[in-house]
Amino acid sequence: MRDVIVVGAGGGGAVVAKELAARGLDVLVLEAGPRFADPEHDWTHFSQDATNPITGYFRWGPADRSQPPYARELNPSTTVVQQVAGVGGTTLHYSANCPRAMPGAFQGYRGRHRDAHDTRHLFPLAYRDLIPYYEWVEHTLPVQTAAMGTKEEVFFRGARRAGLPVNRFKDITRDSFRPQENAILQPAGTAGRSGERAGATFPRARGCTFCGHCLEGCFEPLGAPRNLKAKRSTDNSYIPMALTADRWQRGGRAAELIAGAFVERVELSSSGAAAGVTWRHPAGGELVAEPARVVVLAAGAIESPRLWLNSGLPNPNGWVGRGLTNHFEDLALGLMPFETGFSKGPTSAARADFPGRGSVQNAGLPPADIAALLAAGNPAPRGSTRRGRSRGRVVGRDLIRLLTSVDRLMGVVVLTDDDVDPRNRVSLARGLPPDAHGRVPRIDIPARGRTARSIRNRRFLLRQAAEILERAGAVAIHVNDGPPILGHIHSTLRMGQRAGDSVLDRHGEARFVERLFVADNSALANALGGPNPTLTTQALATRVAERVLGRYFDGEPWVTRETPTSSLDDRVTLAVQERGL
Amino acid sequence: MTLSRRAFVGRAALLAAAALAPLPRAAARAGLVTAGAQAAPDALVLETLDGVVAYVVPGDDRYSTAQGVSRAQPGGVAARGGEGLRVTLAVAGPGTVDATVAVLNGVARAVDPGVDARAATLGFAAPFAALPFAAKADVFARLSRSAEDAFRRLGAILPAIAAFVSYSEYGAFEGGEPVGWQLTGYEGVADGRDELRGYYGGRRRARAKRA
Repeated sequence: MRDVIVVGAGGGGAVVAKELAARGLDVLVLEAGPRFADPEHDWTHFSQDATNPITGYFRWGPADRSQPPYARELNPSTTVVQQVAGVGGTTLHYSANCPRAMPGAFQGYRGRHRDAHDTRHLFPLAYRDLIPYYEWVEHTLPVQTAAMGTKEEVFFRGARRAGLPVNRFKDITRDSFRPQENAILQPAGTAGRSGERAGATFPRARGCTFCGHCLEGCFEPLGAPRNLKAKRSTDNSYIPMALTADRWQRGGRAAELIAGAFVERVELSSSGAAAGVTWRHPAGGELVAEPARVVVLAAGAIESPRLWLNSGLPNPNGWVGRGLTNHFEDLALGLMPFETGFSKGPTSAARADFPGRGSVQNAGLPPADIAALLAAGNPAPRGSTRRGRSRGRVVGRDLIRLLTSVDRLMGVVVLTDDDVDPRNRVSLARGLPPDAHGRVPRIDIPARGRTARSIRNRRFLLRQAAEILERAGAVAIHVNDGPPILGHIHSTLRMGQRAGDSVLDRHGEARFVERLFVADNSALANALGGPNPTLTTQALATRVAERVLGRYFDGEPWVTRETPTSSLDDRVTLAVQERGL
Repeated sequence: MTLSRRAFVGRAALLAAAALAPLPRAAARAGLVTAGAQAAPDALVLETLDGVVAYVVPGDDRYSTAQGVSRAQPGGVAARGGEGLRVTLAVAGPGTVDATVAVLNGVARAVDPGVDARAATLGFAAPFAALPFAAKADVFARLSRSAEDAFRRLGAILPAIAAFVSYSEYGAFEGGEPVGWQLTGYEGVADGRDELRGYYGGRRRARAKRA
């Protein structure tokens, strides 16, 4: 019998796997998507190859790309879901932005703006209780203050002229701007200083080469060992550590990882505790029953509740899948009369935060992706337009005109602190047939029918985005006003202060099923106040690992007692190279 | 980096294409397709989809000329966007290509009852391809307002896919510079760029602050 089965090798699952492997437990990680063992060979920088949600190597679908992707039922049908299946999960295409959450999203906060947050759905722990786990993850990944490209210089100029002060700290306490704290190794050597292939090759280049292809998966610098690739997606950081835990931690035991393995059920013991999973083998497709002492769900905020519901696990308060938050995203795009380097450098290295309202951050994209976003805008936008301002869908000559010089664009993404609302949810489809793994998920989240606070926050943030763009020199500003975007997807198996409106207790364990934990974005209690979720999910996942070890394996907590090993550690590198990872 | 991924390019981007799977049933309910009917002729399919691509990314092609909005430079048609749309829609499920073509041309006739005659004059098999630009916009507006969920989805998705394919590398995998790179001045893919501008305020680290 396994000690722990982790379902999903993405942002959270990889963290639990690494932490418990380091403690010597027998850990099995089951990942539905493929493992990209040789990204320099398997990946390209082309949009068509990578960001195709149907057949791209980062789609949500089976490892065999000749097979169709997995289906979801969407309401509204125009909803856009941006998820990845594979070892690394959605961190494979993420921007690696790692801000901490707003302190006001947690219980016990007494600072300014405390009443401006989603106070009915706070985290059931204090912000200060999470800080040691943030520090542990920030050291492990590692998280580093981001360098600037041209588009960051432009953003900072706009933010400064808009009157925002700079935030010099990790924690968010006031309206302010700052460089991103990114899980990206900052450039050294020739990295970021050369457009030549040789200048992007390890060891002359170390860290981010400013290639502009975060979205297509990071395999730079060329020739670097896997754990020294620039972007610290979990395929480059936590997974290599989990697979080599016996080499860099005394008493550690290497985790086992099986890719292409779709978990279809969580199995319960006669007492109603989690007792293992049933999963479908990638080779023959036969079902495998795998018992375990503890099960950790980390399949993402759509698939984890789907698995819960398809397994028929208890849902006495009806909150499984409910309370979906997505940062109610929008995009403001500025046209500048000068070069911005929109398509270059990391996707985002600059941000501004507004406690009680949310965040905005700069963004750059390749031509195909920004063109698709603009053409997907609202065909019937509301709100007035004036000279130099536009909204909604862009096609025809307008699209060509707007994209005439891609490196004169300036994107600002709005990340709203949106409310937990039980009407926004993941459930099981009513109209689509089941796929090979059971009933498919249904996602309900409206384009407009959000709470008054969510709408107010989004409008405020769009005004901030527009002001930053104007102050930076924009001659025209376009607001996308697009369909619901599920890029940041959270709180569908939320932890909470009350048993009546939460699925998990304050330790991340299921209230209704002992020995079952959740360690992905679905465990988040709320939208974090607006900041990007991955770092907080990874801090909570670390905390879950401590709880698992302490409650079920008589272990001692380690985060406040030990110094973390970085994923860049020479022992990790040596083990990665020796094992051909 | 060479453009050599043709095998994968044949299935280009479609935003959540699996949700277009209900489209054939919706088209049948609307009387636009008949169960068991033969597949639409290639010319009808390509002309319809090139008509969409010209609407989203006009260029120096006959579709753009016909719609009354064209440019002196290549556009989505030159980027092989219509073909890209076809192979994309084929992935969404059986009948999706034919249903898409039937819906677009059916709504085209509703927008302009005389469009068949115009198409014959212009030498198009596809009525949609013969519509003026504003009328094409009306087609998508009607789809977006439709009571049929699958039609609303089509109206939202199709322009986005057309834009994605037209601005991507799709049409240049056998050589040449992608049209989308020409249209945008994109320098192309790279392993690295000379783009580092230092650190804001010279700061390399953020400090912790107790909130």
